[in-house]
Amino acid sequence: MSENKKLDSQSVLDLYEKDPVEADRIYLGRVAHKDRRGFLKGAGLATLGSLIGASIPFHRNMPSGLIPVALADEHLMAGKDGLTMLNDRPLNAETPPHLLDDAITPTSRHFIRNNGIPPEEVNPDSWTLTIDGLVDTPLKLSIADLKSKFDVVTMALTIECGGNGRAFFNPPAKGNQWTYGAVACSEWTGVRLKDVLNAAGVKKEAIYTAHVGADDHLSMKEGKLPISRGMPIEKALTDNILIAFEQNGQALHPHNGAPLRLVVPGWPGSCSQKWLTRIYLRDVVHDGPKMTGTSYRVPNRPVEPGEKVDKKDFNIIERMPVKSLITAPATGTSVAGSDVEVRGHAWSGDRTVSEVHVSIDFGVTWQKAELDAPANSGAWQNFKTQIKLPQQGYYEIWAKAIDDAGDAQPHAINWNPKGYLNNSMHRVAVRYS
Amino acid sequence: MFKRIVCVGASLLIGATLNVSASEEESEFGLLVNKPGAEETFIYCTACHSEKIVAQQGLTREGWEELLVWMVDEQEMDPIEEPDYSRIIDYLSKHYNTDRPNFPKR
Repeated sequence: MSENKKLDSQSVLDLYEKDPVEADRIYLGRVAHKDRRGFLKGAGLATLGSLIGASIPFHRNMPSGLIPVALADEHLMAGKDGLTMLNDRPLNAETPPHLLDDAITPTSRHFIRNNGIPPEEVNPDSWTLTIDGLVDTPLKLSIADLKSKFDVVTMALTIECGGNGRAFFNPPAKGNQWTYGAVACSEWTGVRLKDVLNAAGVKKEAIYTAHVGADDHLSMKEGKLPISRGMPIEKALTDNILIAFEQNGQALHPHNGAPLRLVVPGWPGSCSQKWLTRIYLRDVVHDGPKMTGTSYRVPNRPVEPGEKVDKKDFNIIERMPVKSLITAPATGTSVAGSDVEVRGHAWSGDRTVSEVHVSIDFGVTWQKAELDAPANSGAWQNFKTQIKLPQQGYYEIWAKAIDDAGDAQPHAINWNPKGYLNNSMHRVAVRYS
Repeated sequence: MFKRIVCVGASLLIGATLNVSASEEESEFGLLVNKPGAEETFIYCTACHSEKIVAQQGLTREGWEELLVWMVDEQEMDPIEEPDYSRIIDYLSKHYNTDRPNFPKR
């Protein structure tokens, strides 16, 4: 390998994976002492410093073969911009609300919720999707088959993690502590699930779908699935569910399910199986991993915070509740003038949002925002309004969406043991000075 | 499989540097607060997942016990023998309880 090879983080990481000692020699110009603590020389540190944008004062303490975390995180999150990483194995990352301001979420800003280890082989040319179980004719389809045999459509579709907002539960609920940004609305291109199921022929005994992806369980045990969820067949046969092979006109991001995934808007993101390889139809409610127990389930009645709830009293979450997110101004913003434009999105699973109201006085008075119609069924709706801050000081901007069934966002969290469905109002702090 | 092992090792080292540079509380155990039991907790937990998911939780002692039972029953973890088991449960329920004294800063 040439020592003059162009320096980029990918080639650095590749060599560190293959031969960490050699990588140290080439990229850092350093050779470890026999005990591997400290280094004989460090002439090449400047090259690494230029990659990570600073010198490394404690470089002598850096163990041999260590990849600086700044580079490693960047590598793990390649193609993503500004996301907050909650967990790196499995990878989970959310988007700060002010970075979700676009009407259509760029791929670089779409959150990541992995349950297992993504597959390494994701060749779209050899990928196949199997449709079987209770169908008349089982199908095995390549991505090229999907494109040639079915209508290809592009739709803006909202995906929200069932646990978005879990961080605010008290007592705390187990799992990733998502705040606001496990939601996105990208444009997805693919074929309708219902067209593919109808082509296979849905047998009348089929009541539920079961989805399988190519990701590995964290234990790496052969054949053990990290997650396999499903939905009632009536839902699967609706119009806005896609088997998608493009996100915003390009290949899917590797952590958003490349090369093929389901997109089930308005239901917990876990229904939208990534790295999709198989859908089979069943005559029972699917019982794959994270379908049973208390996963993606909430109590069948209101419960007290901290209450122990019997497993038999949990119901599977279906549609996600009405919610809104303020994407401008960013929380903590200082403004110099009294006039401020407030922008954001609102959504309600399987429903349309009818109104969004904004308050600057802790909910005493509200003003109605301009609200766009959804780009299509399953897309979030954009809202905006001009507010006038009466004098200098601290304000909170609150937003409240109301859907076409009359449901509004609550002030307080409807606590449940696993921390799902937090659709309480979003509050943004603004200083006028 | 070899790749995965390398990956585990790398994330161990990555985790170990994170707090040295980013926090006043230096820890060799990634985001885990460096108190008795941190080493056992780090080693067992990071066999399958990052310590970052551990450090986000705030559970009662009973909650932590249930979580480890679930990992054995459903997530392919081998049961943790004593004395490590008690050290880990003591550590988690002291430093990662419902008051969240060590919730990671973002």
